[in-house]
Amino acid sequence: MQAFQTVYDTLIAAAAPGGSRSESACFEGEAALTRLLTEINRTLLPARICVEWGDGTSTAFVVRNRRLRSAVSIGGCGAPGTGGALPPGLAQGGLSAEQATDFITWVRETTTSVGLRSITLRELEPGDDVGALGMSPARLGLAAGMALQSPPASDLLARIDAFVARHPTQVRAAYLLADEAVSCVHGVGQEAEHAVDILSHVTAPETPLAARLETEGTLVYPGGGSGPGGILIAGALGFACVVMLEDMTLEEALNAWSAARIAPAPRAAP
Amino acid sequence: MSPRLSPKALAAFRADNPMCTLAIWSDIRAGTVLAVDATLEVPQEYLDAFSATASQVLAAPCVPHAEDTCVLLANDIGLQVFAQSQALPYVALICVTPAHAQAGALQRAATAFLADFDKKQVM
Repeated sequence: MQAFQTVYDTLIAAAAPGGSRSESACFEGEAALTRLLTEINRTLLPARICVEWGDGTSTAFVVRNRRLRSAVSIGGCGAPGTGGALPPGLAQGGLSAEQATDFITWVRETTTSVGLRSITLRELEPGDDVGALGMSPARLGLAAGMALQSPPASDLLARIDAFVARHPTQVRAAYLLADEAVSCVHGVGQEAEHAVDILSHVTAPETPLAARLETEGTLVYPGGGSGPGGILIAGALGFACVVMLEDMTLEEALNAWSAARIAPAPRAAP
Repeated sequence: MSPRLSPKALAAFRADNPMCTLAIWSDIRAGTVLAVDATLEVPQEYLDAFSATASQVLAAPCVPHAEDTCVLLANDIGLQVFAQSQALPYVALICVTPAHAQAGALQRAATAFLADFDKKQVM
């Protein structure tokens, strides 16, 4: 549900370019850093997250699929030490995970010295580099020494757990892809290599299947041979899993996975 | 083009399986649409997207080798069946139904349709 809310928020924001996501207050230090990382973490569609710093300078962060791809100084580019001036290492096009610490250091220094005034989501400009590998929110959070919330992973993991609890003898193994790493979350990891191959194929960037799985799609393959069995692949925003099945038809697998959906937590009374 | 790979054949399949609102013959090598039969007119870009999806689904490393294959995909679009016969490995049958359709029945229907196709090819 939270994954859906994130998509909804992003689509709404993208449909109304120029919409501001922050209040008029100036955020400083860790609060500003958390705010920026959270914004990157929830932006799915290609967009510029434009940050106006407390000294009036601005920087655009180019984000796609929840990864920070590149950064650009925009209007009011200031002298070194001010918000608008990107360090040379970060201003030369695409970003990668190795620069996470430099990036966090720069943002932390900037937010501590001048603060963060506002965050506005805008459409991409020609020449914006969204093709770079970029940095994941988890990597940035690690560099910043903070844990960002990743509700879709826990939702998908909880769903696997519920599925396994209902069909303990029919699930051979389950693997979860999160932040580009595959881990065995149920059973033994003998088929890990096969699971990685499958997940790499179905989540290949800019493929139709990756897009369909991302909106909570479920794919069921026969296991081969004459007996029932198969492979269930499910996705959620930024995450995917493979479940190796035994003695279960494709229809049974699909229905069982649907039944294992985790009910959203009840809203607190106002 | 074989008469079996025609909109008429797809219309016959849909007549037997009324839950199927869209049936497509797709060339999965090229990711292109060969024939379509649908309840409503479907824009070409949607058909191309289904065809591209079929190409990717049936090229996955978990597709059993040397076997007829039927894969189910459920998402917000509905239920989609991607079926492939070894008799014609470069062609896929794509069926799209509402999400509440009986997946097993549709899977069996698609498999039988392709098996029937196999026999006619041999004859």
